[in-house]
Amino acid sequence: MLQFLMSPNFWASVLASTTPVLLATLAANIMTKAGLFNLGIEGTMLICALGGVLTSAFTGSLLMGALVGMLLGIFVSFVLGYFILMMNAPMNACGVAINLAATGGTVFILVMICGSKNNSSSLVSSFFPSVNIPLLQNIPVLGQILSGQNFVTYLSWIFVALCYYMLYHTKLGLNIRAVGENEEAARSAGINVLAMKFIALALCGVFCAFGGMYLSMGSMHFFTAGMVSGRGFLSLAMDAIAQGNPLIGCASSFLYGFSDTITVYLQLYSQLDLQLISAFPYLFILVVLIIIQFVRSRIEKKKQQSQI
Amino acid sequence: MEPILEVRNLTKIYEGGVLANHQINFSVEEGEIHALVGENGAGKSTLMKMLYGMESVTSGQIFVRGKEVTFHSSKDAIAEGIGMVHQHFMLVDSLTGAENMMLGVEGTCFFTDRKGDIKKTQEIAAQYNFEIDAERRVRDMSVGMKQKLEILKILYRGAKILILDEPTAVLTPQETEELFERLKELKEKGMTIIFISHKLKEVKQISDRITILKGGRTGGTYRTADVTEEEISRLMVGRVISFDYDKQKLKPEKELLRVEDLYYKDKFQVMKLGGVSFTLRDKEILGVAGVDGNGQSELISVITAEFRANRGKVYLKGKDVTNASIGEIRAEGLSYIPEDRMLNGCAAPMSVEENMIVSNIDSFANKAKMVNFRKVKEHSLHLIQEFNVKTASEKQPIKSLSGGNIQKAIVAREFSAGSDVLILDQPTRGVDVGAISFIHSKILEMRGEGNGILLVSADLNELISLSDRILVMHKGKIVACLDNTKEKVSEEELGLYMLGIKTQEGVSA
Repeated sequence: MLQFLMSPNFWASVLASTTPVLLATLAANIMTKAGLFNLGIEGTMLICALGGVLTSAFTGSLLMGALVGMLLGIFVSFVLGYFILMMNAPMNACGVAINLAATGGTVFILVMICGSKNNSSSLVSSFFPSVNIPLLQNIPVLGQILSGQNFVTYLSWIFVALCYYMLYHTKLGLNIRAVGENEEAARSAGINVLAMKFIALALCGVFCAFGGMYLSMGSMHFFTAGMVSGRGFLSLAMDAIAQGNPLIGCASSFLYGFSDTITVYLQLYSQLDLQLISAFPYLFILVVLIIIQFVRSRIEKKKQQSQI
Repeated sequence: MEPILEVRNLTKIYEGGVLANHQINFSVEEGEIHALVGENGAGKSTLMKMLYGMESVTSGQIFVRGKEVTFHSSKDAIAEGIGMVHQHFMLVDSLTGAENMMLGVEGTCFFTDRKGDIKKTQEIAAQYNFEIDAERRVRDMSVGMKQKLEILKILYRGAKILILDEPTAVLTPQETEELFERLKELKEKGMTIIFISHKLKEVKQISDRITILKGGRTGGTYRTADVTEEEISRLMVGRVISFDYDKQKLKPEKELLRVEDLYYKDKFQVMKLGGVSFTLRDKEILGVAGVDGNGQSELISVITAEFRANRGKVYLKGKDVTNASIGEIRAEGLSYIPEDRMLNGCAAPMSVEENMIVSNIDSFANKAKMVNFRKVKEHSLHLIQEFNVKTASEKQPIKSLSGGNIQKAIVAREFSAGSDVLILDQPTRGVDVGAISFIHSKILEMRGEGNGILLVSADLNELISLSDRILVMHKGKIVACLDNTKEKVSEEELGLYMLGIKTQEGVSA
């Protein structure tokens, strides 16, 4: 029954379904490193998904669509930043507000422009192409898995590498981490705390934007209401595993992609109850989280004992 | 020679009217170690914060190398070559020593130069003979190493005047010795060091000159070689304002609170109480003296059930209450005025009225637990009048009152609760003189009514003018129990016990 695990197609779709969560997790990672908690990732993704589709449909240009989507992501993050950093509003409430505004707002705009409450299929919007990588695509199995993915998927991998390098090998990253961990110390060292947080928010916005646009302009070619369907929230769980480290975040997103894809295949090939199967990815992640937390507390205890 | 740093008539009044520094004058010569000593609340920290640009100056002037300066933030102070090592280190735990060292230093390169930073850090460390591990993360460093890193950090940022805020408070004796060696070397290199402490032995050992702060005023600057520890202690604790009360002679009849062999270790496994025993009887005020951090607040916290003792017993009117809850102890007849009135003493945004009934709200409720607000109003109006609380109305949020009036409201609540044991932790700290004498008279009234009062205070004059007996705590132990009824204990004598210079043999209280 689990023969599909051997097929390259399975693994290719694992990578595909990892992509949006990977980008969202990256957004959550950088927030954690800057000492912020952005509950509004879900909503930001949704807004960007719609923004990208509409702009590309009206301008007929993919580039314009992507650009406007990105700017929208940064804008929404800055709105959040303005409220929590300048007005001292509670972080979680503002995140929830963004999510609610996004859920209702996107449908509202969808109805206004497309006349449909469900999707934007009446518009002809552009989408990110799939990319075949020369040489790699000729390698059997590996080529089938790694080549031919969507452009955004490759972009997300580049983002992970860049983000990791930025955080751990540049002054900007050092400053962001210092701000996130000990604001007072960072301030006394002469770092502009507010600027660092806004830079982190901008990056978060960009990652959210591509995560959202991958859904509406990559894996699907139109926008549907509520299409992020919890991936933004899930990214917060992924980030809890990674504790801000983009590489671990990448690994845990992959874990989600795997369990999400296996669900699809199980629905096709197994006799199990459908409802049970669709709960699988979340249960799987819950179990992994528990195990990780258990191991962590064990290590922590050992450390303490060795100190005494 | 012109002093490198001079302060003229510096005054600081905090919002809410607390006078922290009054007309302070002192000057520091280049290349000396200048100690600043004084009790807690004497205004040392405020003074240093003003010198480091963290607090605004109310009036007065600061001169650096003869030039008048105004600091808007720490950055300005750093630019003038002043660096400060805070009691709580300003380090990022998950970063390495080198990374902390270079944090926020303007550089041309966008990328971090890990090897270069480590090398630079090691060079600076070698230059000043400070031993630190540049590659180790701060969270894995010992406290001593963290402190050295902090000092190097400010030296690297070009500080010529170093302010060290109680640097030895967190160090072991060996680390302290080493720190002093390094400080002496820094002095030889031409650095000026301002050293804040209340450990007289250390001050005597390291400093060239001493400035004494007392109640927000300067008590003079002395050459260290010219004064003895006893003299410093006398100058530190001596008070200007004096209270002299006519106290009734009362004879205690029964025991109210008994503490037996109490031990308490804090979360860092530091022994804060090491076998404390005493008895509090009715019609008496038992004072507890000690330099801040010698176990007084832990003792109160254990008695009031906020902390649990590791060993030992607490008996309230003969009943074992060692493991009772706060509610049970209060029901048993214990009232408590906490040290931090805004944090533990009252609910700041709530009204005066609500704050006055919060601890005995049950007595205003009927069987269905509905509160009778007419009774509440009557009660609080009565208390406001009796305790002379100055407030526009009983509905006013308590935080809008002045410190003294908030304290009077809290005193009113606790004193009207009908308890026979009253625990008072710094009941008059940061309160104006008028409110102080009012609260004192109320305390004496409670004593006259037959209550037992445990009074912890940093104000020795308060202790001497109110207490029947005074316990002195030093390093978690009671080192003396002094009778204050027949003849007043002198402040000098208290000071000697508090600083551990003198100890009573076989104390029984």
